[in-house]
Amino acid sequence: MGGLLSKRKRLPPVNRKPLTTEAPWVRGLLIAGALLYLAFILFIPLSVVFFKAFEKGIWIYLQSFTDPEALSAIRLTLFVTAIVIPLNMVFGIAAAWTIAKFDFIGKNLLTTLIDLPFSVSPVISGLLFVLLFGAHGWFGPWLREHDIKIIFAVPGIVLATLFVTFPFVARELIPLMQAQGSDEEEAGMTLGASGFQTFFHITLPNIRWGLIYGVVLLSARAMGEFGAVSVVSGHIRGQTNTVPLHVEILYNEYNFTGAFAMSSLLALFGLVTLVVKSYVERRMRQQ
Amino acid sequence: MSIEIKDLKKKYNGFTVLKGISLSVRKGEFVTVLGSSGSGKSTLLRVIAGLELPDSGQVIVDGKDVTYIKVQERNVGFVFQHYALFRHMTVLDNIAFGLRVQNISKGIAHFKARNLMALVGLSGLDHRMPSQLSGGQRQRVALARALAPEPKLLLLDEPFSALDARLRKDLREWLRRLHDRVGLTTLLVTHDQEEAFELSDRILLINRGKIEQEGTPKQIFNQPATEHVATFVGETNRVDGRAEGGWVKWGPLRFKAPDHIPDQTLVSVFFRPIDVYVSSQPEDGAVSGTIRSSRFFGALEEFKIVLGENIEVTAQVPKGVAQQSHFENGKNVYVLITFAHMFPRSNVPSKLPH
Repeated sequence: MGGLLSKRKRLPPVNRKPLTTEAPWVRGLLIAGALLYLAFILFIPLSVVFFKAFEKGIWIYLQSFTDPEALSAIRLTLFVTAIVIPLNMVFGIAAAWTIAKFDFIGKNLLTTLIDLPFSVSPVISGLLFVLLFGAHGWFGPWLREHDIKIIFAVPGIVLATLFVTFPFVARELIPLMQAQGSDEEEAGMTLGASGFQTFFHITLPNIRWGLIYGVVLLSARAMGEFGAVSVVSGHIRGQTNTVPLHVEILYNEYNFTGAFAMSSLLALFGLVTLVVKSYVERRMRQQ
Repeated sequence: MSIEIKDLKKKYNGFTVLKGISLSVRKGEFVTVLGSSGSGKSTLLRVIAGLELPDSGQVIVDGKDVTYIKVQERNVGFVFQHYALFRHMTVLDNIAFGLRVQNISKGIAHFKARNLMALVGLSGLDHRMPSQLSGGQRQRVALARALAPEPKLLLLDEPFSALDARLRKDLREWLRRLHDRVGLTTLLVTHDQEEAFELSDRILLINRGKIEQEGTPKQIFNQPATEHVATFVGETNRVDGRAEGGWVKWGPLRFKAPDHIPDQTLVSVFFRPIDVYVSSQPEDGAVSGTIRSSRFFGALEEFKIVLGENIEVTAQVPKGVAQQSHFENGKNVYVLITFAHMFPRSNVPSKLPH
């Protein structure tokens, strides 16, 4: 092995012409253009968030989180996310499993429907639930009779977030499961594994990185969702305000430090998501 | 473990894959189902394993009807065409899987798995991942994994098709020895006739969802029951003609029609290149011809010989004989067909191999 390597080292360097033959100034211009664009669209706005948040010093920054309304918004966002993640994870796995491993009538329709929340404006997604469960909606009278509140209450926020984020896991898993086929599951079954054993020992480990990737995207969206949640929330302070909604309220009240402090939380979470995502992507490629 | 299959039928989207298959495999026997792709052989194997349900028919194992019994309860070892190794498990965990799911302790399962690894020649590869193995090693992991729960019946779906020729031959010999040593009942499915001949006690030739012939490799080769068997197994010369007065004529060649073929029947005659006797001397009943071209196969040499006016037969001659008689292009030779089969012509003539 060592001999081979040292021999290779002694070979004269090959003078290869690059496959892309653009002149250096063209390349420079393209790279500069791309960087400049990124700076304007991404870096500057992102740094403004942190700059504004810390403008009046770290003390004021930290104080904005002690405000009970801010705390309640953070709590609600985490609460909603904690409900949405497991539900949509289970749904995503079930949907991907159904689509990837079985043939049935209406499969294409189901695949298309899963993408629906991506193509529908979030505001409309929120409106759907108002039309269903609102005071004048289909189930409105029945809900009022039984004293159940969905719209302008936490259940509505959960529902809207569920709807908006349900494609993430399924989208991630369908191509993965299709590529893997069901050979390994069949092998497991011939070896005597039950359905549960097959799922937990074979299917789940095989899709774990795709699943984590989907969940990361899902939770990022669940925490950041504004449009759909805004429609169903009713903006009741301390009760139905999530972090993005609270940012808007603070901003409208000219409490810029507070607004940007809350934004910095979301931005920070976004950055963490990116790091996790790129790590998971690398693991997926390695597999 | 003996298997008996009764009149299996199976349709996919209106296409009949199995058209009533019946077969039986005795305990300890090595049987091969031989057929081209799309003949239904893989489906048959999957039905026996319990991975598919038949539309009708029965699968009986050791006298017990298992047609509707779950895969998990059949205790069948199955080796998949592309191995289907668990990609996230080490070699050891792959092999131990069938034991671990029976709640056998890790220690015992790994001990048994290591014994199997020694049996299939994989010792020391415990902690490798499937992606780090060569094709032949993966194949042996798949076999060891299938053998771990000690199945009485081993089903192999084209197990060697993804390997190169040399490795395939080695693994075939090894598999047959393993079969004899472990005392399994084995059913193999393949499209490779060489594989079928080398490994099997008995061959079932399947075509378009039906079994066309069953017999020992010798019977299949020497007494093909149908046109399809004759053309599928080994190379062959084919002549189409009509039986007249007990003979079929083709240029200067004459073939005796068997008694069961009535006069004036349209027939196809098949004879293998190896059954064409070629000599440089005139012999009794031999027909004269000219060598047009030759191909060298190592142990055999193949000649295209033109007889009379534009009739060509393919002959294979052992290397030594060809050398001794100085067979070469343009040489005048004498040809005698020593062995031929005749079938009444089917409605749809199959493709001519020669």
